[in-house]
Amino acid sequence: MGEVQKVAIYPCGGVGFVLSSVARYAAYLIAEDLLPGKTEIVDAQRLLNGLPDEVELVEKNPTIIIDGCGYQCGSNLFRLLGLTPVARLLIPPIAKLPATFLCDCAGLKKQVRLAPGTERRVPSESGKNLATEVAVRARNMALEMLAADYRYEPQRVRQGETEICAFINNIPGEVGYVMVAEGVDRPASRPRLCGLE
Amino acid sequence: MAERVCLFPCGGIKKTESTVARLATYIVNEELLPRQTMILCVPAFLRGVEEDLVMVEDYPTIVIDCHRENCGTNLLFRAGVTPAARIFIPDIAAATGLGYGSSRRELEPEAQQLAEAVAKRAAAVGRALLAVDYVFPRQKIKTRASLAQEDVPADPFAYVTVAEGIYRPAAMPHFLYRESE
Repeated sequence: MGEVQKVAIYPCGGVGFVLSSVARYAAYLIAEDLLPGKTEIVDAQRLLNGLPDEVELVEKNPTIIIDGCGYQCGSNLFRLLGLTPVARLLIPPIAKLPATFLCDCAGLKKQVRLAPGTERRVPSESGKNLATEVAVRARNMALEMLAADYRYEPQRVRQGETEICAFINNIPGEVGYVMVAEGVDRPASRPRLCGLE
Repeated sequence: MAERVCLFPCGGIKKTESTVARLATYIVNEELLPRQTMILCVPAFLRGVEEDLVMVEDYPTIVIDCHRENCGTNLLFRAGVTPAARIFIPDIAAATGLGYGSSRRELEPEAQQLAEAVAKRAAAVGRALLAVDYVFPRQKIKTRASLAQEDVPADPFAYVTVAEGIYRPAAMPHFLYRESE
């Protein structure tokens, strides 16, 4: 167990649904604007390809998953790799927050509309608002993990073959998530997020 | 004859090149070949989402690799799926002289032009695969695979060059590529 120097952020990695574009945009906001140098985006394709720096990122550092939709593919990928995240954000419950929501966008409290919109290439204004709300929540979680009293034990990616392309009904049950807040979960085996629970 | 074509942009997020691949895919799917293309979502594919399994087994796949790391190609190889064609973005960047820029979140104008150039070629390949005389061998996904290990051989599909930036696995049928269409 050791202190956390960096938090890995894994947005679901999808490309078909608008929600995956929101997840991706949120990850860029965290890694580039909110906590640069303290967070790093997990590239699922590089990870699946076994590139050493990407494998090391998820083995040595705690990972926050951002699942874009109800399929929860990000959480499933970690399950396939034999890894356990430290927390998970699920976007749909956050997108269902009141139409005008007081968002802590870049520290400026303001009323915004949260909705994924329809633009996959770059999220629309409401999609960017939603991404910002997700990013701010992830930042708050990451700050908890970067605090001196949070401990993380490195883990190893599963070696050998695993079953792929098999549909699992209950991803939260498989991962062992417990709800922390609306749209925020953590595996029961992972440390509590003291400032958030 | 294939009724639709599956587009598989590498799916990365870390490199600007992967944003180019993704944008090119959206341009093909939404503008150049609407209703004739589908986009493969790798996390959903590995999750066992039915539509993503069907699209790579029953339809020809164009994989768009954005970098020499070949993550898209290698993922298909792990899953036992042979693509019908491969687009390699660095070749197209070199041929057009267009750069990737430095913004992953929203591409700069030059990188957008590169995405359009990639999309144009991908759409031309797509049209060739949709031709009446193209016969696509149905694929079968492997149910077990290694993940996150560097165990894929170099050039696993023995790609042969079709045109600049466009390749075909040696084992897959020829297609007639016409860039001017």
